[in-house]
Amino acid sequence: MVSKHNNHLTITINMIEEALKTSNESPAETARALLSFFSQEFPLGGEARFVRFFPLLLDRVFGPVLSNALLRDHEFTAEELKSLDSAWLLQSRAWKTSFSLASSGQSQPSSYSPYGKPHQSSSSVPKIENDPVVQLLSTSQTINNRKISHHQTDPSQLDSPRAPSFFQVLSCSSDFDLQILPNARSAFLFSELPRSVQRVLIHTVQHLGNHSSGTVTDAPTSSMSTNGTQLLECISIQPLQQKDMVQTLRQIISIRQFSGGNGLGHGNMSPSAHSPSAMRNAPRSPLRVNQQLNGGGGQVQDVLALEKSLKLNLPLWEHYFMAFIRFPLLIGKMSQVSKKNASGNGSVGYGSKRNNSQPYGEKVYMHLLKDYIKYYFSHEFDAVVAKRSDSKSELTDSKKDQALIRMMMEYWLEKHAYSSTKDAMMYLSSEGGNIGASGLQQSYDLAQLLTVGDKWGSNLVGNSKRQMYEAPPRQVQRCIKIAVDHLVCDPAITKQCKAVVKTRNDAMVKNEWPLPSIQTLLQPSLFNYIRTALRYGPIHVANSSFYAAVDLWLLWIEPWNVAQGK
Amino acid sequence: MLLKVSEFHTSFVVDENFSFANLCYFITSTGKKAGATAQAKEIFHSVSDRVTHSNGPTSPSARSRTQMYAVNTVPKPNKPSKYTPAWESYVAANLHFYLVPLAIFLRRARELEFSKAEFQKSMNHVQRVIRVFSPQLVRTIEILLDNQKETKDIRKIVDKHEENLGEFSPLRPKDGENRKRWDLDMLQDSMHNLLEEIVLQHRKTIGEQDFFERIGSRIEGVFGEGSKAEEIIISKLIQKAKVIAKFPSEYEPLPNTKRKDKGMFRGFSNLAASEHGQDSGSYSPERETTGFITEKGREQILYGARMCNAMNVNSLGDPMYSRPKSHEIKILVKWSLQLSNILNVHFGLCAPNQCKLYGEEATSTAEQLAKETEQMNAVGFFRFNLRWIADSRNWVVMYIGWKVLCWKLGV
Repeated sequence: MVSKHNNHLTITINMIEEALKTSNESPAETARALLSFFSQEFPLGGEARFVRFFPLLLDRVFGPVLSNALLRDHEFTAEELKSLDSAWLLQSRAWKTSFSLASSGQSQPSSYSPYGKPHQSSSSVPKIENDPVVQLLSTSQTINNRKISHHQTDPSQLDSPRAPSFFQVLSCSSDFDLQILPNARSAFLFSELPRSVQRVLIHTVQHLGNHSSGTVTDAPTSSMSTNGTQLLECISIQPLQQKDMVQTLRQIISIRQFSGGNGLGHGNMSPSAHSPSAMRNAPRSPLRVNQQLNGGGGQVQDVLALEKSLKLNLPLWEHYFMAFIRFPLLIGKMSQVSKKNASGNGSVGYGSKRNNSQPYGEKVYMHLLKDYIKYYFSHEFDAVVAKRSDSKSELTDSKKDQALIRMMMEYWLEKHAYSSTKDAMMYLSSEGGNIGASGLQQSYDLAQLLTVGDKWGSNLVGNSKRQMYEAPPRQVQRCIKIAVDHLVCDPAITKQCKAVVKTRNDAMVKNEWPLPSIQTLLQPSLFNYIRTALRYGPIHVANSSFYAAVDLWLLWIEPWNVAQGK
Repeated sequence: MLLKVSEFHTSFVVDENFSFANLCYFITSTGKKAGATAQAKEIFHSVSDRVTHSNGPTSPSARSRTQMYAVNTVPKPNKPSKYTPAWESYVAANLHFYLVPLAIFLRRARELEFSKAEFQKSMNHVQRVIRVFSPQLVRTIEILLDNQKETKDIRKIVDKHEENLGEFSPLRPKDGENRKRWDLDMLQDSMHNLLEEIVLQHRKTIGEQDFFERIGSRIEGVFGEGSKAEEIIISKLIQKAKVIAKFPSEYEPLPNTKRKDKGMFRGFSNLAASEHGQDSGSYSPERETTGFITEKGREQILYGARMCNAMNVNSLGDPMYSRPKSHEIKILVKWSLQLSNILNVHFGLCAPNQCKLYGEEATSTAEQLAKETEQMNAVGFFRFNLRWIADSRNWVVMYIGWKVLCWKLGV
C-alpha cells in the first residue's frame, strides 16, 4: 500500500516537474496540478519533493533570476528573453482555463476578501480569484484552512490536520509537522539582492577578513544602510555561516583589490568616502582605473564570472518574496526592452497591447500583492483572521512583516542612494550656496542625488559616479501606491492618534507615538522617495513619477480621508 | 448564545441548538416563499457570517471582522480639507512630510503649463495640494514649529519623527539655537512665483483672445465656465495661499497693469501698437516704439529705478500675416490676404506687400519683425483685413444666418 502511494507520488511529482520545465505548458493546468499535489500528495511525504521543484516553480512564475538583469540596458540574449517571456506573470493575455474550478469536482475554497463582499458566486463570472494560479499562490486557502481548523469541534478531525496550501507550506505555518521545510534553503543570485544588502554583506565579509571574527550584527555597520542591515537580520539565516558564499565573496574582493590597487580591506566602505567632499579631494583619473583593470587581464573575466555565479542561500519564504518584490522591476525592464524591440521591428511586445489594457500577468501580480499586503499588514479589524493564533507564530509573522516591508523599501523606494542632509549641505556650500541658511526654502536644493561609489566599496574615482534620476517603472509606482494606500487605511492610526490626544488632554501619559510600527519603518524611505521624485520627476510628461509622487504624498498626509464603515 | 438578526424582512432568533443546516434551509425556504431567490442568497451569506462568529470567538472584533472596510477617498480639488485637531499627533509624527515636499512642490509647480489648454489640469494639481493646508492644519504646523513651553509634549513626537528620519532629517533650529525658526512664511517666494506664473499666463490668455473667443468666454461665464470661472479659481487659490505663506491681506501676485481696454474689437488690431510699456505705470523702463528697451531703459533697470513686467512683452510683427490658425481655412487665408492687399494698395492705405505668412519663409529676426510692426503702425486708422473670410466659424455663422433668413422669408 505504501509503495503504491510512493509510486503515485513519484509519478505526480515527475509530471509537475516536467510541466514546470516546459515553457509552453498551460499555467492554469500546471497550477491545478500543483493544487492537487498540495491537497493530496503533499501530506503523504511530498515535502522533500516540494523543496526540489520550488526553484523551478519560481522560475516558471516570475521568470529566471538573471544576473544583473535590472541593471542591463537592453542586452538580453534571445534565449534569455525567451525564458523570461514564458514566465506566467509576464504573460500579456489571460491563459486558457478549460473548465471552471467549481465544476472540476475539487473542493475549492471560496474567495477571501476582508473588505469586499464575501461569498460571491465564483463559477458564473470569470474572476481573477478563480484563476488556478491565483488560488495556488494567494493566501486565501491558508485563511480558509485556518478558519476551518479554528472552528473544528470534532476531536477526530483535529487529529488529522488539513492538507496545507502552498502559502502555508512556504511560510511553514501549516498544522502539519514539517520536518524538512523549516531548514530548506534555496539559492538566490547575489547580484539581484537589494543593493544595500549586497553592500552590507560585502562590508561584513571585508571586515571579517580584517578581524577574522564577528557576525553581521557586530560588524561596524553604523555608517551602512540600516535598512539593509536590518533586512539581513530579519532573514532567518546567518549569511556569514554560508562558507561557500563568504569564500567566493572574499575571493572577488581580493581580486578587485589586486586589480584596483586601492585597498578594500581598510574599512573605506563608508558612504563618507563617497561624500562630495571626499570625492572632490580624490584624484579624478578614470583612465587609471581602466588601465589597472585591463592590466589584470584574465582576472577581470574571472571576477565577473565569479560575481555572476555568486549566490546566497535563503529560506524558501525569503526567496519567494525576494523574487516577488523584485518582480515589478523586471516587468518594467521587460516593457522597456519590448518597446525598444517593437519600435525596431513593428511587433507588439509585453505591455504594449493595442488596447492599452493591463497585461493579465500584471493583473495577477497586483492581485497577489494586495492579498499579501492584507495578510501581513492586516488592519486591526481583520487581525482576528486566525493569522495570529499563538504567540510563536505571532513573533514569526511580525518578523516576516518587517522583512517584507524592508524588501519593498529596498527594491521599490531605495533605488537611488539618497544623500544625507549634511552631505547635501556640504555640496551646496561647495557650489557657492550658503551652508548656514538651511531654511525650509532650501528643501529643493537639499534633495540631492550625489556621487555614489560602487557596491564593492572601491574608492577609485572611476568607479564612482553622480547619480542620474531614473524614475521607477510604472508598475513599481502602482505597487508603492497599493502598499501606502493600505497602510494609511489602517484603523490603528486613527485609534492611536485619538489615544495620544486623549492622553495629552488628560495629562497622564506623555511621549506617545501615533504611528504603527510598519508605517514608522517605512517613513524615512518614503520621505526620500517622495522628495526626490518631486524634485527630479518630469513635470511635462503625463502620468510621470512627479505626479505619482504627488498622489502618494497626498495619500500619506491625509489619513483623515479614510472612510471606515460596516 | 443568542444571535438576533433583525435587519432582514423576517426577524428571527437563533440559538445554539439551531443547526447551521436548519438555518440555511429556513432562510432559503423563506426566500423562495417570498419569491426572491437573490435576496435569500444574500441573507444566507450574511447570516452564515454571523453563525460562524457565534461558533467562534465572541470578542467584538471577531464579530465585526467580515463587515468592516476602510477606503481612502480621493477628495475633489475644490473640496475643503477634513482635517481636525484630533489628527495633531499624526501631523507631528510626519511633520516634515507636510513641509519639505510642499516646499519642493511649490518650487516645481511653476513649471506647470497654465495656458488655456492645460489650465484646468494644472490648476487641479495645485489645488489638490493647496486644499490640504487648511487654516486649521496651518495652525497645527505653526504650533509644532513653535518652541513654546505649552507644546512641549507634542513636540516630543516631532523629535521622534526627526530621529526616525535620521540623517535625512532637515536641520531645523532647536530650542536655544540662534537661527531663524522654521515657519511656513519661508515659502513666500516660491508661493509668490507660482501665483505670479498662474496670473500671468491667465492674463496672457485673456489678452490673446480674439473677438469670437471673447464672446465665447462671456457666454461661458454665464454658465460658470470660461475665463470668469478661471478668475474665481485663481482668486480662491490666492486666498488660500495667503493663509499658508502668510502674505499680507492686500497681497496681489501681479499688480494690475493698466492696459488699454479696447473692448470687443481688440482682436482686430495689434496689441503691440497700443502699449510699448508706457501704459503700464511709471515703473516701466524706457522703450522704443517697437517695444525694445532702449539703452537708457537698460540703465534704469540696472540701477533699480525701473522694473520689467512680463506682461509688457508685446508680440512683434503684423498679426495680419500670422500663421494660419486651427480654425482657419488655409487656402482662404492666402486668398483673403491677397484680396486685402489689392484693396489696400488700390485705396492707397498700404504699400504693396509680398503677402507671405510667418513661418512660410526662413525665420524672421526680431529686427525684421520690429520693422514690420513699425510699418503697420504707420498705417492710418483703417486698412482692409479680410482674413475673417478664412475663419471657418464665420462661415458657420453666415450659414446659420442664411438659413434663418430663408426661413423668415419663406424661401
